[in-house]
Order: sequence, then C-alpha cells, then structure tokens
Amino acid sequence: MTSNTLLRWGLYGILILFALFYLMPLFVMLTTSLKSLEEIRTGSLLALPREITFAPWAEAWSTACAGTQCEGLRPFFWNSVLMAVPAVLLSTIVGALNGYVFAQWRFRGANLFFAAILFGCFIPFQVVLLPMAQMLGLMGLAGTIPGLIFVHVIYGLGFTTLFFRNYYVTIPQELVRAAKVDGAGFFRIFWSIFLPISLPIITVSVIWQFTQIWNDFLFGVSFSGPGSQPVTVALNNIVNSTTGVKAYNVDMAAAIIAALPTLLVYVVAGKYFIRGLTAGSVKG
Amino acid sequence: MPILEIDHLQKAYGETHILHDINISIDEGDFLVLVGPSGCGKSTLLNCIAGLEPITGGAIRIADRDVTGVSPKDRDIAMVFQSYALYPTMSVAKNITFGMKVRGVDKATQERKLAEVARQLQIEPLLARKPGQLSGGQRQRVAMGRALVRDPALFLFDEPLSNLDAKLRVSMRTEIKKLHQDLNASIVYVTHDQIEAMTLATKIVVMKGGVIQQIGTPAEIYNRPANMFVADFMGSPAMNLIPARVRSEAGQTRIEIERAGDAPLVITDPVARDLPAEIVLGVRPEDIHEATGNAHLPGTAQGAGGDVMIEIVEPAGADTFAVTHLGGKAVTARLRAESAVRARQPFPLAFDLSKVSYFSPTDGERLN
Repeated sequence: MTSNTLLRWGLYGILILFALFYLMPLFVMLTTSLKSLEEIRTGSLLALPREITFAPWAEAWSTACAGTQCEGLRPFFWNSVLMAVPAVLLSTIVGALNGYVFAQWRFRGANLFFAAILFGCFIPFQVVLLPMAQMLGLMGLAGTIPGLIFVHVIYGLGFTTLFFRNYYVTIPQELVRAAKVDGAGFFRIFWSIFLPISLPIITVSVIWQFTQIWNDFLFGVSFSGPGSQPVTVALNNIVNSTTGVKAYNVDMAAAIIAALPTLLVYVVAGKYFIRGLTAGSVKG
Repeated sequence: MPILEIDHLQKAYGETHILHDINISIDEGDFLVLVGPSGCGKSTLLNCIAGLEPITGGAIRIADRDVTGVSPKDRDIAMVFQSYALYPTMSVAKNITFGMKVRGVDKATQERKLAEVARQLQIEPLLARKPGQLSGGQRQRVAMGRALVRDPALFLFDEPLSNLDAKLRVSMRTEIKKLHQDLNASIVYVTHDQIEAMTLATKIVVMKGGVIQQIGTPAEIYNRPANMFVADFMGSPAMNLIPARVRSEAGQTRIEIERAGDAPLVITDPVARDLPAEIVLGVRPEDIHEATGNAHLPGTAQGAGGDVMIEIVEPAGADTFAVTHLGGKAVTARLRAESAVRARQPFPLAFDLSKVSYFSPTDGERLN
C-alpha cells in the first residue's frame, strides 16, 4: 500500500467520524421519537428502540398540547405553509426584478440604492421588531398571516436582490441592447430572455428563502396572533407545555415534523443550490 | 435622398466629451465604415445612431425622419453586435423571429421571412439548434439573419467579425460585401481593422479621440490622407512618414532627406509647391520602387548617391519588403518578389512623387 492510499483512507476515516458526530443528534431524535415513554425512562439514550411505536408521531401531529390548544402541530404546520409559500414566491419574483434592474438598467443613484438594499441584509432581526410591529398595526395586518408574509418578503428582499443582481450582472449588456433594437420592452426582455436562464439562481433563492422563513422563530412569535402562529412557535409551545411527565418522544417527533419541509427542499434541490451559488463566479 | 444624416452630434458623459461635432451624411445603398483605434468613439457613435445611447447635442435623421429622441425600436434599424448577443435559451429560428413576434407580425409572414433569410445565409439545418450548439461563424450568420429578417432602412454592424479567427473573418467579409451588393442595403459598420474598412466601404470615416479625421471613399482616404494620423492608421504596412527639408527653386521642389552615414538624399519634385521649410514626406511602401538606369518615374533618387543602405529584407511571397533608415525613421519599401535586394547592402530606390503626400510637422495636416 502506498502512502497515497494510506492518506486517502485516513481522510475517509476522519470524514466518516465527522459525519457520525453530526448525525448523532438526528439519530437520537429519531430513535427517541419511536420509543414509548416507558422505554425512554428505562433504556439508554443511544439504544435502538426495542419496540417501534408511531404513537408519539400521531400525538405530535394531531393531539399534543401547545399551551391550552391540544390539536398537535397540524394547524400550525398549515399556517407555516400558508406563510412560507407566498412569501418565498413574492420575495423571489420581486428580487429577480430588482436584480434585473440593478444589473441591466442602470439608473442615476443605482449604486447607492443597491448599497442600501445590501445593508438591509445585515440589519439584525431585533432592530426591526418594534417599528415593524407599529407598521403592521397601521396596515391592519397585525397578528395575521398576510402580516407575516409581508415581514418575510421585506426582510428577504435584500438577499434575493443580491442573488439575482450578481447572477444577471454576468450577462452581457449587448443582449438587452439587441432585444431593445428588436423592439422588446422592459418586461418583455425580462420575461423572454432573463427568466428562462434564471433556473439556477431561482433555485438558490427559493431554498434560501424557504429555509429562512420556515425556520424563523422571532418574527413568528412576535407578529403572529392566536390563529396565525407558525410551526416553529407551536413546537416551542408544545415542548414547554408539560402536564406532569415530559413526553420526550412527542417532543422529538414534533421537532422532526417541523424540520421535515426544509430537509425535503434540500434533498430535492440541493445539487442545484451549489450549482446556482457558483454560477456567477464560473462562466460556462 | 440621404438615408442617414448626423448633424452636429455631441456626446458627453458629464464633463468628459466623447464625440465632438460629428457631421456625416450617407445615401441609400452606401456602406459607411467607422474606423479608428480603440477608444476613438466609433462604437459610441454607432450606439447613438441606434438610440442605445442618448446624445448631448445635435440631431440624427434616418430615412428623412428626425429620430433624435426616438427609442431604438422605432428607428427602423437592425443591429449586429460584436458578441452576436443571441438569446441563449431560444432556438435559432426563435432568435431570428423574436423581433417580428414582439412587433406582432403574423405567423405566416414570420415563417416566410425566416425561410427566406435561412436560405440566403445557408443556415437552414441550424434552425432548431440553440446558440450554445453553434460555432462562432454560425452564430455570426444567425446574428446577421436576425438583422436581415427585419428589412430595416439602415443596418448597423458593431465589429461583427472581431471574434472570428483570421480565415473565417476573410470569408465572412466577402459575404457581407456580397450581401450588401445583393440587397443594396444601407449599412453603418464599425471596425478597428483598416483592411476591413478598405475592402467593405463605399465611404470611410476615420475617427480619433471623438473627432472625425477624414471622410471619403477608400481611394481618397488611402491616396490622399488628410493628416498624418490617417496616413499612419490606414494601410498595412503603414505609410512611411519621413521628416525632410524643402527648397523651392526655379519651378521645382528639392527635397532633402537625412541619410545615416552619408550625404542627404536629394530628390526633385518637378512641380513647384508652396511648402514650409520643414515637412514630413508621406510615401506608401508600394510607391517606393527599385530605381532602374532609365527611370521613368519622377523623383528618382539621384545617381549613385541615391543608393540607400538596406537593413532588413522580408520576403513575403508576393512582395519583398525592404527596410532602410531615412530622416531618422524606419522606411519600408514594397519591392517585387524577385528583386535582388540584399540586407546590409546599398540599393537604389526611387519615390513615385506623383503619389506622395506632404504633411506639416507641427500640426500633421496635409499640405498638397
């Protein structure tokens, strides 16, 4: 065996070790969620379930109590879907239009505008809480799902604009000029020429925004009302509402349910994500 | 009727003036070439004609209509870009018909015109392909097809051949010329390649630093350059620009040129000219000949003293280039291929004075 293959095996060994380390929490969550409370109390944390039970999953989905409401995660899960899907779509579409303007329709003061939007990416969530609450109140959207959509669209625009601008800036200006001479206008050029080449960056924007919005807790807990809480807030409430015994198996099942959609998005579109992120830098 | 008239056009970005007082007029069927070194403003001028750049002053008329403030799509122009600018996700057919589709031309007309242009440019087998699957020359054809199909009053070409390899460039050049002749199209064409300019144009505009240096037919530009810049820029190898002293005497002009390690070379122009004492003599390499015993050419380098020391001989197949030093400048002569010229040996040369240009050494303007 040469030293080269030895090195390679060493590398694999280290990588596998790290993978196991990172997978450990998921393993514990999954096994715990499939055990009965009895088994959790008596068995080891790392042991496989002796008897697999899906009862904690059913309870987490439809009967677990979040505060006084005992309907499980289901209604909140749908709240999250109703919030995340329009917010992701809107912020991606508007971000694409913004990026198209910044990259291809330069106007006086464009750099200043872009800098301001970029700055928006770095504003901490906490800073906007109070003004945003006031704003939502004025708009009559306080405590509603449309209100949450509004907040997430505004907050996401900085990122989506940046993504699309950096992608479109690599497209030669002559393309727009050719289309102008051909007779196409602003929206026609966007629709017929720019959108069809945008799949990689749309994927990036959708994954990024979906993950951010679905996983968000602070905006969700601050701006939602009783009927509009997203799943992250409900998860917190379920874990914190204990009646006597702490139902670890239900908590774990609920946590996995709450995380599933983002996991799914990565599995389905993950390879496009990396491709899209590097699309601007490497031509081809 | 002039198809394009540019009247006192000015273009500035803030305080930086890009184009100064441009006046050009071309007739229907003209092939106008804007030529100059990079940064001379020729592409900017083309974009101004297209309406892609707003102008700061003056007016532009296309087909007798003032289009100064009109948007590109309403100027009745079509443009071919340097990078071809083909729409990457559309097939060749869609690329060519996009303009018609946007303008709401009916399907049947679109199909008919597409077929017509595809036949003309011999791109029928490519119609279903995407631009990414085409070679450079094929993309070039598609870009031309996109312009041709529009049948505009004026075609604009922005360095369309500069991304092609040398061989393809020459053949596409011939094709563009043929298209121009077949269609009797009016064309404005930008290039930095003076050979392209010479071969294609019916009219050339030489530009430098945003100022027009000369407008004329290729022959005028080549034979009677307006100043030393044009003389130097047009032609390859470039025109020899030789500093010289002038003495006028008795109905003729004596021109003295410094010669390294020898008495000055004296040549006599049999025409009396009103020239300053110091001039720059401009003579094309092909207007310097081997002096024969009974030279019929005026201005033969006189006698044995007319021999010049040849430094380098470059056989180029059809011609042989001989390089010597006169007036402190390298001077190239284009001699016959079978010439007996040898490097590091004196050789008798004669200037064809009927074709030389005289320039002022101070401002570079033409004097004769």
